[in-house]
Amino acid sequence: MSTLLQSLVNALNLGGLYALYALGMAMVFGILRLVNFAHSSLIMAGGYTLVFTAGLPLIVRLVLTVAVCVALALVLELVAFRGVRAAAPETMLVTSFAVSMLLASLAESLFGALPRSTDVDPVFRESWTFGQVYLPKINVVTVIVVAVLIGGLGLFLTRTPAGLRMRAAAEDFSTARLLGVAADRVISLAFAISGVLAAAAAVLLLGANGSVTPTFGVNAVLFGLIAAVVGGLSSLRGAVVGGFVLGGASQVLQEVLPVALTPFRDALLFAAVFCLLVVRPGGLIRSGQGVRV
Amino acid sequence: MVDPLLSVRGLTVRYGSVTALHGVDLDVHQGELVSLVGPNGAGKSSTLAAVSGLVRPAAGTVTVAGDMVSGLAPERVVRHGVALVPEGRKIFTSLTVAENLALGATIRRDAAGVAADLERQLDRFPILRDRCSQQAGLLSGGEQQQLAIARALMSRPRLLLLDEPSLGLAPRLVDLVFETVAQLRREGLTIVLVEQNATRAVELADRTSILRSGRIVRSGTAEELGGGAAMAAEYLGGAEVGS
Amino acid sequence: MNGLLGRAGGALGVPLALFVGIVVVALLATTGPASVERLAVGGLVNVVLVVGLYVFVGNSGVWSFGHMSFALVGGYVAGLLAMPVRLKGQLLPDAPALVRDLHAGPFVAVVVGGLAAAVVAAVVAVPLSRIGGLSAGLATVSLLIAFSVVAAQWQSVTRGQKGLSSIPMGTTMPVALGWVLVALLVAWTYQRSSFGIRLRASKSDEVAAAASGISVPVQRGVAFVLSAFLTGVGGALFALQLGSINPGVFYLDYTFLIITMLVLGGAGSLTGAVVGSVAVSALAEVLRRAEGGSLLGLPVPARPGLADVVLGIVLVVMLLRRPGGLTGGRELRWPRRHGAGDRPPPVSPTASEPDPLAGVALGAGSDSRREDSP
Repeated sequence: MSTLLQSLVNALNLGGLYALYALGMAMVFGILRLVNFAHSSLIMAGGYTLVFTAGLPLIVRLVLTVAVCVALALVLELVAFRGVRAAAPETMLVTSFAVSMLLASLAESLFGALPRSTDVDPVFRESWTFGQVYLPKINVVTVIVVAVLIGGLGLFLTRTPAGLRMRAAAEDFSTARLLGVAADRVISLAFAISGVLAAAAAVLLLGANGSVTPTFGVNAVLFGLIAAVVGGLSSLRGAVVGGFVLGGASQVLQEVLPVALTPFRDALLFAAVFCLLVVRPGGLIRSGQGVRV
Repeated sequence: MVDPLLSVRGLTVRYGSVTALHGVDLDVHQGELVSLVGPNGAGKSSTLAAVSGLVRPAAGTVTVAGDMVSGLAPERVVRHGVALVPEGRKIFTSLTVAENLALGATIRRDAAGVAADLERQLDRFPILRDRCSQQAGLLSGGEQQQLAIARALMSRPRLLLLDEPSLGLAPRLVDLVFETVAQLRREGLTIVLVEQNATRAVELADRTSILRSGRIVRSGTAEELGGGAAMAAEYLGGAEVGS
Repeated sequence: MNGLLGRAGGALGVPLALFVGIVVVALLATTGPASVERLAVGGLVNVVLVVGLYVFVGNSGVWSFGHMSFALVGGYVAGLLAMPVRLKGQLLPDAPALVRDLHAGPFVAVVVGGLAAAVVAAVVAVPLSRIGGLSAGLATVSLLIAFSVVAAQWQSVTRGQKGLSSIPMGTTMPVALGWVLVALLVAWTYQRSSFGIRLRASKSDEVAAAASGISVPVQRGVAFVLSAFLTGVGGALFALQLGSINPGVFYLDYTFLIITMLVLGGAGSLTGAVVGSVAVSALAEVLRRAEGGSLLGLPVPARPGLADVVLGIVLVVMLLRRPGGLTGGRELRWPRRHGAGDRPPPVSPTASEPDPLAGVALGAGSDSRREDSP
């Protein structure tokens, strides 16, 4: 019973994180059909912001982290992605890949390849123990933060005019523009929201890991990508569901795989995503171009 | 002579190596209903797409009430008072009817005026009032067309562009669409109507321009064109569908 | 395609001319210090890898981010084959007997490495070749990650993160040049064959190609397997040049490098693949010296990672400004009135494919956006 509970806690925590990464990517993909590998760069920038603001009050550090992530997201959209907007989704994918590698190299050049560590908050290292169940406080924080962000995003999208415009643009961009929805503004807003989500991811990841490297966030984005793909890539609800499915699947595989195979868990997950993509390319990703339904 | 509300000069549209429009000229005066007819691929929809900003013309100008709008993005053109009801309605199927209508008023800031216009459109299309909170994708084809027209009117346009509003509708609904267009014209709205149902479009319109292969081959009133049916038989070569 | 070939050059004029160009660059490098020669061999290995990727991407128009999986397979298979049996007995005591006992010379090891990659690709291609576009791009990324995890975790055969070392070094300059020639000839012959022509038809219009009886999945699959063979050979050459291989080498960084080369040169032509790999190799070498603190004798502030920053900027600018690459997707062209004995002229920079970005308002192509609900 207690092991089951422990697994459930782990799955929830992992799923929440994956959902957070997936949401950030689905947000941009839904509007722009861009698979944004550079989402990892946003998380990385957030991580370094936390490192360099060590010593300041936590609230200031958090605000600065959000500010840096949002600003970088807006700059990337303006400088790198605006020019390839009308290109095929694969071209945009190559571009975002290039941007993420570029920024990782830049971080290495500026801050070195070695991990830079910082302490986000002492709470992140503490934990509760209930009998056999071990519950790190960061897991609770993660689940709460993710729930608040998902709820807030949901309210924003369904209850505000700007949210309505975003949903319209995600469904049919050119018709939305015909009605007066400004393309640049909606796209910038999508990037800004993905920046906020990346900042949250940076705080939670750093809280758990304690250090940042130039490739901080790359793994997060790879897993977020699978979660988003599982959920349909352009659907925000799908991204959340995909994140929790992936978190659950990871945990289940961890439990049921023979010991000899557990190291290959991620290989199995990614192979499953490969199969999913080739079996249902149109059903999962409706990009419209080059994809047959 | 009063300046036309919509003035199109030398409009040329290319898609890659294909030229869809070769220097089209078109004037539409305040309060006029002008229809564009012609066979498939004649350039009717391309004309509307270029006027509304959906495609950028390769050459030529479009002015609305003296303001140059050619080359502007669609979200800018609509702010000059141009509303397009696109071919295939293009309603947002995942949103509710009310949300679709609210999006129609994206460019407006006068909340009271928007609320009044919403009432007016719901009176015009009573079926939409019953379906307000329903997902628009659940509407029938005729209801979707009504929603698309109502949504365009929510921006309170000076110029309404209608692209094939009767396409794919049952005869009873086609009647409804044409009655609506006639009513809008009586209200003083300036309208450009693209139709394959040429006979009715010609008879309803003040003037008609016939497009073939990207060029306007003839323009005039229904009488000048020898009556809708005769004109359709002569110029459209049986390409007419519907009636 | 007519008129592209010189008279004396015959049907193989383009690959031979490209090869001559590469030989000239490589020979120039051998006049320098030994370290430069080693880099030149590494550059030749990259040419093989880029040409390998080009055979699939350039002809099918479908992006693959997973080709380094095949380099990984080729590298490990060739490395394991080339290692002496006694050494394997010590390093890999738990490996299957087959892995421990088989041994081959460097040439056979490279060929078998390529074939192993081709076999893996053939299995993958059965489902993969049915899809294109973004789905294929994402599927190949997943593939790369899965292969990389296996290489990092299969302790008994790959030694995990430690990787294989003490692989006999067999990739010398002549060997690398020989394989470059093979890669160019294979790529060119394929591209000019009825297979290549049919695949290229599907690239410009998949529906029309299918309607005229071309089985797009079969054609894509053929290109994929052939391309994986060359990539596997490239990976094998890499392992036998360095004498070692580990799971990290053929991952996102190397994928990025190879894609940069292909995009920069122009993914649409073999000439583009070669021009891109040579140009980037040269640029990377210059930048690496700058990183080391001197450029043309001038002191430069040393910055690790700077080379990759510049390469990244070059790639992004290229994608934004000239998506067709340096060559714009054209092959080498002979001036009509000159004999083919002349040096091939530089590729005209003005001859580019229609710019897909020009004059296209976002969302104007309404076809590219279908109904998706948030």
